[in-house]
Amino acid sequence: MYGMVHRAARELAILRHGESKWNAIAETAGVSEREFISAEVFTDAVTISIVSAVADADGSPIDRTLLELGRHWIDFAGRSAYSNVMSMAGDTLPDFCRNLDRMHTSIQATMPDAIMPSFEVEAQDEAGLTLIYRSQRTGLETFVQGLLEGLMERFKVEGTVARVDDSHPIRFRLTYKSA
Amino acid sequence: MSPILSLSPDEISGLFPGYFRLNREGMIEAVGPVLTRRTRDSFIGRPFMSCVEVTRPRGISTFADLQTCRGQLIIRCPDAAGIVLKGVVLQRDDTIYICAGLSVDVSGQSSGSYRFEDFSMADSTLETFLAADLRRNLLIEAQELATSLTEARNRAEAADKAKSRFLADVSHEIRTPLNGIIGIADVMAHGELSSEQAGRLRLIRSSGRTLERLLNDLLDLAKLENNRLQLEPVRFDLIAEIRDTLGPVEALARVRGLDFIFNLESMSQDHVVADPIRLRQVLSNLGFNAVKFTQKGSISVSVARTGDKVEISITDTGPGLTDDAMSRLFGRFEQADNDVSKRYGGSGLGLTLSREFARLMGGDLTVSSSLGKGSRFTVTLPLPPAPPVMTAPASPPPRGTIRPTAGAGIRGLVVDDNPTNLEILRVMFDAFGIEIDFADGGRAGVEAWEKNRYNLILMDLQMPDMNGLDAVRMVRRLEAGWEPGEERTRILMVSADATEEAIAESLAAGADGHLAKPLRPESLFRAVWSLF
Repeated sequence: MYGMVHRAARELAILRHGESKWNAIAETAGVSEREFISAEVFTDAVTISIVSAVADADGSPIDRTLLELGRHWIDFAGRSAYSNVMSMAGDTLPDFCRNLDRMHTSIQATMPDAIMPSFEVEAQDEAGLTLIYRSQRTGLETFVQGLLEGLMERFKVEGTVARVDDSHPIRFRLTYKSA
Repeated sequence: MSPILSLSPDEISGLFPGYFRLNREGMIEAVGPVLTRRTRDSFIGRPFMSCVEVTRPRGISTFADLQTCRGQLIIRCPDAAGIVLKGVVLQRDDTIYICAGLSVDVSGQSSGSYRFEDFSMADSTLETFLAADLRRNLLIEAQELATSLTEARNRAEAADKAKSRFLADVSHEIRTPLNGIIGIADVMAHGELSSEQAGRLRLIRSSGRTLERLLNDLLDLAKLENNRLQLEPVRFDLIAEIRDTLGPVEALARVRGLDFIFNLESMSQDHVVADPIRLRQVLSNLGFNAVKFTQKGSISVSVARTGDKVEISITDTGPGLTDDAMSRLFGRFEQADNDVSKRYGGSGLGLTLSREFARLMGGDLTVSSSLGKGSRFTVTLPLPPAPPVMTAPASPPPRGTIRPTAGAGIRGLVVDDNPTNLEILRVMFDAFGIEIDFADGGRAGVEAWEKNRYNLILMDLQMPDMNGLDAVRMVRRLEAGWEPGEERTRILMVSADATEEAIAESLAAGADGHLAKPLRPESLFRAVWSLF
């Protein structure tokens, strides 16, 4: 996972628990850094350690924190120095979803060491859209669900995100009312 | 039909987001998404040459010119927010295609208005653009991190300075009552005491001096941390200084049954210019440490000169040090291990300060050790030989001879705003049979002196209403108006600041001498008698 996600996790932890608690969380997670460079690539183990330590501080299951981190990440990225990329990806939820793959492909080209997931809008209708998520990683589906919920908030779309049961590859159904 | 014309409009848009399709008359029939999204008025049906500026190649001003163009084309579209496109002209049957994509400004000035669809899927313009964006963001983040680190460092330094200030303030506050304890005990030591009382008094005096050493160490540490510690180099005989400094160490070693060996390589005299006080602190600390940690065997001192460098080593046959202990030895408040402070006492500042002093003098302090065999501490200093001092230093009077044969004729005034200091001096002067008066401030002191014409004043330097320097200057100004032949007032400035600067300032103000606190009866009366 690249450092930007860790920056978002750090911000989330500080918003909830304060700066000094973040230092304790980072210590629990075993990370020496207290600040992260967005483009720096970390192993997933580091990311999971951080999320796990934040979850401990929240007193929540790790899945819940992953979901909330996904939501927060979209808000964080929209305010960060990467807001340009977010803007370029689209002005509506369906446009953004259609460009998700292109966004990750393009970022992959600039950060060759990052392992980027792949997205595909499989179907789109009046009631919403179905998005296929492919990744070499496992265990980050809840984080992705949080990202999609964060996107709904970004575009002020009311609706739900649900994983389509037992589908392979993994599919998410975004249900909302088209404007 | 050539393959490009078989592409669907969506496919053409994906490959050439900035394309134009023109008819044979040069009228626009269709445009790519980057143009559609950016124009309020449609391009459709308008002459191509009136909608764009062809900036390269040069000289394309008519549609006919355009049709002959075979190389790369760069066009600017004023009606589409000034975007710049790069492409080629393709002519097929009755249709002309300007197959173009965005030529982006990677400085990022207008990045917010781009969309992914504006970029060709077949080239790396988007990636170039994002890479430039990434680089900009990295610089921003690096700048933020640098700022955050600078702020953290500034906060840490400010906290460190506050700590040092606090340490210095507290040390000064402790010093005054401590001076009282030590001063009174010193005076009492000159009186008649039973052996039991003398023993208890020795304990008070030695405890007081231990506390005083610790305070001095803390103050030195605070000065070092604030870069305020300045060396005061003078010319002196290095060998005599080493012998003098280590004399008490030798005496203590012999009392404890240890051999004490000087190995001076036949050096008898070696005059150098350095700060003897700091050198004395370093050697005294190393010497007493060696005795403290050595149960049996010997302490040996060697001094060797190689050119301009002098190496002074103190070797003991103590327990030695582990590698871990050696790595922590010069850290502040560190001792070889936790048991050391319990068993032997000490603040753990001595070696830190010794090394800092050695380094301040341009040298270093190093240690080598062998567990179970002993340790060697070596001070290496750049000390070029200096010409010998021509005038022999005055010998200190032998102990027991400082008591005056007569205090008569001395009319003394002590000026100090601190009641403890006044009381100490009262006891000291009483013990020597000299009557003195007191004033609790500079102004009151000058007034008392005008009234009673004292011939000796002990003047404190720092006082709130009028400081000692101003008071001395005023006395000297008033004296200047006296009749010729009147006895001049002897003034001794008293201050905790014993730097050359402070002494020079006292003398410049008109004082006859400068005494450093804490006052000891011996030094006080030696100074007084030298003036009468």
